[in-house]
Amino acid sequence: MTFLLLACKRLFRSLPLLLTLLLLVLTVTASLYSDRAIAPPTAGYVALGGGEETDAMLKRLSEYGFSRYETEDTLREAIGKGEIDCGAIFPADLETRITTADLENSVLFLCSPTASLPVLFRLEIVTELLSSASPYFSLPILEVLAPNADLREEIVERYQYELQNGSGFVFDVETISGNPPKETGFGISLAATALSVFLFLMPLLQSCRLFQSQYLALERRIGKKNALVTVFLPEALVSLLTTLLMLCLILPIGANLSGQTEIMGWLLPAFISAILLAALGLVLPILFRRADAVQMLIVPILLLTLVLCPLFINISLLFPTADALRLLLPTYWLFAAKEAPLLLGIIALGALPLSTCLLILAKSGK
Amino acid sequence: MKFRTLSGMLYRDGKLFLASFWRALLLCVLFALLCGALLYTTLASVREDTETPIAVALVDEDGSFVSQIALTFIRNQKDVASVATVKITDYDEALIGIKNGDFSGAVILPENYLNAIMVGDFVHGKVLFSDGTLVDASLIRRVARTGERLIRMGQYGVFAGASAVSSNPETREIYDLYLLKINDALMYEASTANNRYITEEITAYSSSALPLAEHMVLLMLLSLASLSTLFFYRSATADLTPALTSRLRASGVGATAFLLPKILYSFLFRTLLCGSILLVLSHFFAFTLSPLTILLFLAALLLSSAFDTLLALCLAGNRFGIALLSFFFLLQMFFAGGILPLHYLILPLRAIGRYLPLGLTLSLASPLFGAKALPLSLVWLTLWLISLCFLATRRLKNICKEGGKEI
Repeated sequence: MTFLLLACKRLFRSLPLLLTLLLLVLTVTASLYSDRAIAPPTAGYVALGGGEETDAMLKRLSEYGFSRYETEDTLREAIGKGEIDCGAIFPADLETRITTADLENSVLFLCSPTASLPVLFRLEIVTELLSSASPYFSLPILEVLAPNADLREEIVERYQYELQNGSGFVFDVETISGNPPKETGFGISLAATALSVFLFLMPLLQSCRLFQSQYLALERRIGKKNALVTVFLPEALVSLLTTLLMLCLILPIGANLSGQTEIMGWLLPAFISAILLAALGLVLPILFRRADAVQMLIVPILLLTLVLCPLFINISLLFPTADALRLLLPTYWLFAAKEAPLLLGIIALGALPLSTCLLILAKSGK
Repeated sequence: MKFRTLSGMLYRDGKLFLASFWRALLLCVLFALLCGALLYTTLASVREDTETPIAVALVDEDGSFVSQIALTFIRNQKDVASVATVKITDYDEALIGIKNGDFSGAVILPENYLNAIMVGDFVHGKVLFSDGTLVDASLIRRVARTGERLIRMGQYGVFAGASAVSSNPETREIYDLYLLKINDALMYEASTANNRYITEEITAYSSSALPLAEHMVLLMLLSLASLSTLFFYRSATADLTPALTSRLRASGVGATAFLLPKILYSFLFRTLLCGSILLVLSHFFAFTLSPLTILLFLAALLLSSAFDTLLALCLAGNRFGIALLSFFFLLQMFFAGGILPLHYLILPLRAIGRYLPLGLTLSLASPLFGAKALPLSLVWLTLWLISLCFLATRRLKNICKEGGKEI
């Protein structure tokens, strides 16, 4: 008990606490991304000219949620900042082109490389252009079929009247109750991945303690086994308990801030994977003989996690062998614990004493 | 600073550098593969995100042969396929699909709808949305509204012309021919307008001066160059023990002679690394190779080498030295969009990334891909370097004090 209390005292001065705080910030930030995912994409436009038909068309676009920008530069800036996904630049002679039904290459459409469904915005712009120019398509036909008759005004008037009062095709809209698609959202996957990587960092950095000069001096003084039992293992236990305690705080805060409850379902898997990774942390010093070699694992583990875990794309669909590599990554164990908490829970509870015994045996040279 | 001292340090650091060279090269290849894989998955995910269509059920209550032809034509349109994955079902199947989360919505076309559209009768279609997928619902609403407006545009366009032609005694005789031609003309315009009316331009990637692929490639290349500091960490910090530093000081090695060779070797390694990767990349990308762009790229490499080496020296002796250095590099990558694509980050986070050394280096190196470099990047990077120089010199002084000598 005394050793545990001493380990607690040392913990307050050491890095794991700072890391746990970092974990808090990252998890909260990550869960905030899931809110961004539900914002529908938007678009804007710039009109370099005006006119009766053009203004009516722009008014309709504004009603549909397109934002008006005064200059091309401000539109480009808004796309660059990610405020809008796409933008249209209407030329100065748009009015003439509508009234002569000559709309070939009449719009410059600026599209961010990350825009979601830009085709939809294009379709909306094209529909409104067609809607404005529709009566004027009759004029070139009538010029050929009846060159002496001037029906221009009559056709445009009738068209405008129908547009205002007509009873054409209409879709009735009805909202019914339905489930969201069966897939883990990007925000939650991201939060879970960040969580698992940081759960891995705690024991990883804890294991570096074994290579510290003060610790090595202590080993020489009281023996390897005694140093392990009285200093290292109590510290590892306190570090694990702190992690578990912080998880109980971080996950509810993250879930609350992002306005969702799904992330709470990760509490038990996070507990299980924290225990599994603590066990791994005890095995690491047996495999690596230098602190810098252990610390060097941070970058490749994070990069591999981003590549192999289905955060961006499911790479195992392209390379099935990647599945085997995934077993080496902390994120795999978090997702596995979510799928089968009972089995992984039992494995975790068995792995912790087993790895402790292995470390003691390795350190006592047997 | 004496030339002899400097050449002596160059020789000594050269030996240390060569001792770590092959190990560093091997690690560099491994990290390059990882960075390449990350680049691939990020670009693929962005493409998948922008092209993932919404699942929609289409219920054809008309069921006529003409309706089936019309719907097959609409489904096979490239533009429609990129917005929605349409599956033709019956009404009950559509309802069950929405409830189970298989469909985000359903479009129901009523009996005899085609005939009603053709003769201008009032007809109602129906769109069902799922409240479980609100974003998709708003998108389906927009698609439905666009379809509705297209049909009405056609109906009113034909009707306005037809009624004007039939009411005028001079044109009454051409009524049938006019009707045929205007239907043809409007159908042609509606089906081809999207490609003919619009010229599309893909803008630069968010908060960057470069297109998406070029931004990611350059970012990964510079990140890899930064990470190479980790591979030379042991050789760069080998001299930083109180005893050794004091002995070097006693033999006339000042701070400049101590730091300069380390920065120089780091710069040499980065130049070789980036040069060979750029040579491979030249098969896929068009580079703007002018004396100025090459000079700016080399300046970016030199300044980042100096920054990273000085940072490694500041952290030397810390028990978590490599871990802290790794955190810093990963943090820089995160804010510059190397870990998560930049467009997922909120604007203030992106702004932080632009002022961190990696973001500044990226800006300086971007003329290589034809973008403009911000002159302020050079100023900011120099400011970072000056402050770190100050810290590194202080650290050297402290180590010398521990060994009994002032530097």
